[in-house]
Amino acid sequence: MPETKLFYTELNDIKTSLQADVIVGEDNLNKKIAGIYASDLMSDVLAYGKPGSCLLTGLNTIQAAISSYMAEFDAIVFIRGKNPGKDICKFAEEKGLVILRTKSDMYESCIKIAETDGNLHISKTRLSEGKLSDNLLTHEFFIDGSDFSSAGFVSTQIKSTLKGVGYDPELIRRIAISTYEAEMNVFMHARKAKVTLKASESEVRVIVDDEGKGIPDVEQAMQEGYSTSTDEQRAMGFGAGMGLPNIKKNTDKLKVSSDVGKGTLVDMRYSVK
Amino acid sequence: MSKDHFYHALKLESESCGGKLKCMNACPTNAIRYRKKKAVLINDLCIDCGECIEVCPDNAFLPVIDGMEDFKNSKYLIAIPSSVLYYQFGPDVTPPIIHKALKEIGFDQVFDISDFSEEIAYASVHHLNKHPELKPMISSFCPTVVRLIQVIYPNLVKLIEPINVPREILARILRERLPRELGLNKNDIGIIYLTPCPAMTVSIKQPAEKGVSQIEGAVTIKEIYNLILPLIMNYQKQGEINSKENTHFGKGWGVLGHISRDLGENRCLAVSGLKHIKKILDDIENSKLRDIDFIEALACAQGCLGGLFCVTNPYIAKHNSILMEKKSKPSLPINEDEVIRKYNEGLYLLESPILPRPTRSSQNDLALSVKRIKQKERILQKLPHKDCCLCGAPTCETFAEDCAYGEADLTDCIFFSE
Repeated sequence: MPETKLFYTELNDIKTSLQADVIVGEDNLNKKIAGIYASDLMSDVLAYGKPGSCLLTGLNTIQAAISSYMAEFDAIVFIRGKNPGKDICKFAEEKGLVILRTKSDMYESCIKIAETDGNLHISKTRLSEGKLSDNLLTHEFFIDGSDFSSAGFVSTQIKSTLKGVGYDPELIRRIAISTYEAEMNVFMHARKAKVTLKASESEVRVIVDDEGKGIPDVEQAMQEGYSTSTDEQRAMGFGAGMGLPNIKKNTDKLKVSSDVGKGTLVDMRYSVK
Repeated sequence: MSKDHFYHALKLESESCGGKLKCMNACPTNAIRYRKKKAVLINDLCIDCGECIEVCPDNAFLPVIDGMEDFKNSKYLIAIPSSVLYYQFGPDVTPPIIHKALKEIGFDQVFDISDFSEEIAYASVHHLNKHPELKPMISSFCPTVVRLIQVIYPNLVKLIEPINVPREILARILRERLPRELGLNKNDIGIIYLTPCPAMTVSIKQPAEKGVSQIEGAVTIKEIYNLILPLIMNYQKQGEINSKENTHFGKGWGVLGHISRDLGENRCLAVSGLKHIKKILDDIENSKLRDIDFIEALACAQGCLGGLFCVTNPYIAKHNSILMEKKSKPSLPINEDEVIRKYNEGLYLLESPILPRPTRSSQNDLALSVKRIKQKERILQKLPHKDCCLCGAPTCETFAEDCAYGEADLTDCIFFSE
C-alpha cells in the first residue's frame, strides 16, 4: 500500500480563518489537527469521526463535548456565535479539549476553512488516512502461559470482537480454531505471549509472538503427528501434533518464524471475501 | 407479519414496569434496554428463555399462553404432554393415571412421546453416522438453545441436528392418520402440547426454521396440574392408584440426560443452564470438543424439569423420574429398518434449514462495521466499567456499542452528566 503523506494544520490557523474566539484551551492552540468534521449529529461524529479532528457544530449541549471526547477529537468550534454553557467549558477543561466560537454559520465556516492555505489538504487527508488506519481494528492481548485454566480466553475474546463486526461465520470459525491452537501452543511450549489482532474489511490478521523455547525445525513441526509434548499434556487432550498443521489448514497465509531459546512468531492471515 | 418479525412467547406491559432493571441483568442475550425508565425489548435478540418473566418484581413481562378455553371449539382434542408432566406428582402416579385424568378434563386422546423419542434418537444416530463432519451435533430439542445459537453463535447453526422434535413428528403422523380412522374433518382435530416453558410455545407458533407446526397450540403444565390434581387425589382416595403398576411410558425427553441415554454408545454431553451452555458452545467454536459426538443442551436447570411452567421443584421431579424409571418396563423394540426407511423419506427432517438471525452488525457493510466497533472500543475505554445499568444498557460494553450505532446518547451515562 502506498504511503500517504499527511498534512496537518494547527488550531491557530482555524482560529485565524474563522476569526474565532478562544473559550477554553488558550495554551493548546499550536496543537496540530488531523481533520475537520462538520456535523450536528453526534452519532455520526461517533461513527465516522477520526481521532485528532476538530468538530464544527451548532449543537450547543454537553453531548457535543462528550461525543468529541469519546471520538478523541481535540477541539470544538461552535458556529453562529453560540456560547457554550458552563458544563461544556468545565468538561472541556478537564479533558483537555479546545473550544472555539465563530460568528460564521456552518456553510460559511466550511468554505473559509477550505479557502485557507493548506486546508484543502485536510479533507483529503481525512479520507486517505481514514483508509489507512481508521478501518483497521487493532487489539492486543497477553497470555500468561503458567495458568492452564485461562487457556482459550484470548481466542474467545478475539472471536467475540470479530462477531461484533459481523464477519462471515465460516471465517470466524477458521480464525477461532487456528487462534485457539496457537494459544494452546503457547501454554505448552512458552511462558508468555503477546497476541495482536488486526482486522479490516479486507483482511484479518492474528499474530502470536511468544517467549519460549522456540522450534528448531519449523518444517518438521508443520508435519501432522509430529509432537514434542509431554504425556501429561497429551492426557489433557493436547499435543497430538496437530497444532501447527491445523493452523495451516485454517489460515490463508501462514508464516512461522522461530528463534531457538527465544521464542516463536506465528503470523496468521485470513482474507475477507 | 413481516418476515423479520419474531413472534415471542412473552409480552411486555410497559405500564406495569417499575424500572427495577432486574430483567436487563438477567437477559442472556442483552436483549433488554431501559428507555425513559421503562424496559424495552429488542425483538431480534430475544430467545424466549423466560428469565425476564421469572425475575420481574412487577410482573411486567408476561408469558403469552393459550388456555384450555381457547380450544373448546375443537371437536376432537388430543393432548401430547411434555414428558416432564409425568414427574410432577410423585413416583406412584404413573402415566396411565395421568392420561386418565387428562381425558376427564376434556381430551379425547392422549399420546405419550416416549416411543417416538427412541425412534427419533435412532434416526439422529443414523444421521450422525452419515455426517461425521458435523460433529459434535447439537440437539434441536430446546427451542431456547436453538435460538441462542441463531443469535450469538451463527457459525454453529449448521451443527444443530436437522431432525425435528418428537412432538412435531408425532403430530404430523396423527394429523394424517386420525381423520381417516375417525371419519372426521381435518380441521375438527385439535392437537395440544402440554408445555413446560414459554419457548416451546414459541416453537409451535413460529418454528426456528420458519416451517409450520403441526400443533395447534400449547397449554401450560401449570394449568393442567391445577386441573388434574384434584382428580388424581380422588383416584388415590378410591385406591385406584397401584404402586406396583408399571408401564413403558413416560421416558421421553425433557429430563437432562434422557436424550443422551437414547443415543446409546455415542459420546454425548448433557448440559443445562444457559451459562454452562454458552461455555460449551464457546469450546465448540474453538474446536476443543473434537471427541464429542452429540450435545444435549437444555436451557433450564435439570432440563425441562426446571421450566417456568413446572410446578414441582426440579430436583424432586428428577428424583421422581429416577424412581419411576427403576420400575418401568423395557421399551418396545424399534423397527430399525422402518426408521431408516422413514429417515430416507425425509419424515424426520426439518422442513427447511435453521439459519442465523440477522443482527445489527450483519446488516452493514464490513468497512463501516469495523469503524463502528473501533469507535465502540474507544468509547468503552472512557466509560467507568461499573456496569451500573443506569444508562439503560446492561453493561458499559453494550452501552458503548449502542452509542457507536447511534442508538443511545452518551449523556445517558451518569458519570458524564454530573
